[in-house]
Amino acid sequence: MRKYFLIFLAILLVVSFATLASFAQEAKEKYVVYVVVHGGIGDPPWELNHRGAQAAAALFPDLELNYVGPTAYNVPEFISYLEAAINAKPDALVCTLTAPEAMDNILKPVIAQGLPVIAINAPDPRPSEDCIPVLSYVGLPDFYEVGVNCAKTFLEYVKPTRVLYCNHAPGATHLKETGRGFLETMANNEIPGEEFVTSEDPVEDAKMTVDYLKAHPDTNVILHPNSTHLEAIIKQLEDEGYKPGKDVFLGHPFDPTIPMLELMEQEKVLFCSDQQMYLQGFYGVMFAYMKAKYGFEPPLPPVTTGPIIITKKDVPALKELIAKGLR
Amino acid sequence: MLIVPNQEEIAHHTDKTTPFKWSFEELRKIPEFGALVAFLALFIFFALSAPQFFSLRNITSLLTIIAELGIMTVGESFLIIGGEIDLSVSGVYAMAGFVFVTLANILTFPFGSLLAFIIALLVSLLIGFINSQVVLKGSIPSFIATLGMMMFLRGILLGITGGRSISYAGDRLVPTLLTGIMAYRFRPSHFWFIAIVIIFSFILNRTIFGNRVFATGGKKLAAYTMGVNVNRVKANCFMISSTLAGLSGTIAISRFNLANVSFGQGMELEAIAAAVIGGTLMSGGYGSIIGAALGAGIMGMVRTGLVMAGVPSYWYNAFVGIILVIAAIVNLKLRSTILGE
Repeated sequence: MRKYFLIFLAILLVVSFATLASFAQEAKEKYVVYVVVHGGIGDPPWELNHRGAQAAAALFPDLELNYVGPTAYNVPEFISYLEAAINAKPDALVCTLTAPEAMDNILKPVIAQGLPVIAINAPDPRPSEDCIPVLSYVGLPDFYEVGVNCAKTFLEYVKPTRVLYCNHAPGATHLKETGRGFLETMANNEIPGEEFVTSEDPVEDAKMTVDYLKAHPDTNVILHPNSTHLEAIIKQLEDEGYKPGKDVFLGHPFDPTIPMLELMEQEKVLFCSDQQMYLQGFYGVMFAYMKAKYGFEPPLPPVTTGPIIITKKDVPALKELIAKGLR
Repeated sequence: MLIVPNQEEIAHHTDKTTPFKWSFEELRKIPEFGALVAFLALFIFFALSAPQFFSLRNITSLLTIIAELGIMTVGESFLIIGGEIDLSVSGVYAMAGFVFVTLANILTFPFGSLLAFIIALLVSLLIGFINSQVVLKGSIPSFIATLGMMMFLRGILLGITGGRSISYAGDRLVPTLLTGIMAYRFRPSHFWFIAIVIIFSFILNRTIFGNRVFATGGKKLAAYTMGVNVNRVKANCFMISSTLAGLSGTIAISRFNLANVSFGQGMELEAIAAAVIGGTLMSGGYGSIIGAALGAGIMGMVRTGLVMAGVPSYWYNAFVGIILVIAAIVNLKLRSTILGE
């Protein structure tokens, strides 16, 4: 038995290390671009971002792309990936400026030494003299405006009585800003509402949100920043007798996924606010590569990719693009 | 010196009369040997597969991550050896960092950050004391009591901050003493970590208190009948674990220059995993501080190594999981004779 166990262990070791070694490609004669995002990389919008980055990499045979990030939002883990990516001595770096204060000591010295850095998705919100001097920024210019846009869309299509902004990742600054823009715009229109901190777990989030609705039955509008969580909430709402799109109106301030589009077709979700994650990945990698190889200066920041409000009428065209892996 | 029935398991710690032979059989009786082999194997593998892994810059980056996790792991190991577990360490980590940043921002007189740092550690110590009293006086399993404390601390932080980050604006004394960048990108936290490992290894292996920790975690009843105040020993272990978690938190927050409620999430499991990989038995009564430090080294090294080796990030967790299990198995098998298996 002991012998078989040792043989099994040896095989496991060999297979694991062989697989690992196969991933460790030679970087010589290639321009290595690392993309480090705050993730979670398993989320559909980030998968889209990854696809955009891969599409850019596929255009250039001498571009080696390494796309990394934590599986769920986690600043210290994100920072450790960023440091590892820099230590790998890439030719260019693309990253989110998720926690700029924590990234100052890491990015400013390497940028001063000449590493081309392109920011995507999360900008540095500080005054320009304190900002990390990235070459360009691709993404939404201001998350507060995303929230404002969402509030305006709700006000245009429905009559909110009380609104709820669910926040499943309360440490994430961009989500906080989106909620602030949404709630303040609603408040300016004399509609009460609040931010509700839920859970990283979609199932737990769904239960908490529906419990909240039971406790606050006058709430008829929910804005949720995570599409997977929103799907779970819709299922939970239906299980408990609510009619999403009829007695509760739902919106999503970020990117449309196929399930979100289908829910819009079924009129259960009113809108999504697209920031074109695919383009952020694509432009980020392309700008980084062009700078590293040819010295081309990228466009000045911000290279705006949204927000674009998407409603039911936009769904057919978007579905076609999603089927092609472009949205 | 106190003799308890579990003593044969730790005889190598105290037996100075038998001459040491440098055979493999003798080597694997060293509790840190398995962890050291796993650590070196991984290090060599990553150094071969990623050209920049064995660079000074990367080594110092690794040390920074390892030091922060390692300091927490040392405290957690102490407690596990003493027969209990602390899941609140990540909450203490975040809370200590928050207390430190908030107070340092308020205490604007010279060296105010030092006072903020001391208060943050005292708060951590107090949390450890409360944990110990809930567990020992309330007869509640430490798993539940400390899980509750972790959720309570994170809830408090969330309630106070509303999820917003708090930037550090205090004086630079403590951040410089903890994480200021030195020559060749070394940081003081690397040396604090090494000092803590040496000190706590000495306490565990060379003092009466350390012997009582082994005894309490191994055979609690026997230790009690031999006159050991097991509750006091455990209370001290809880306070050590919590204080070191608080220190780890203040170091990390000094490095990031901001505190956020999400910091440290999941670190309690990493610290426990590091302790076990380092040779600490979850059942208590056996373990090593140096092994725990090596375990933290393995934990810290794996993700960085995978990034630098160019492994697709969707596969990270799968590789991290398999590498950790293999490291734990290698460790267990190499030292299995010492437990008479």
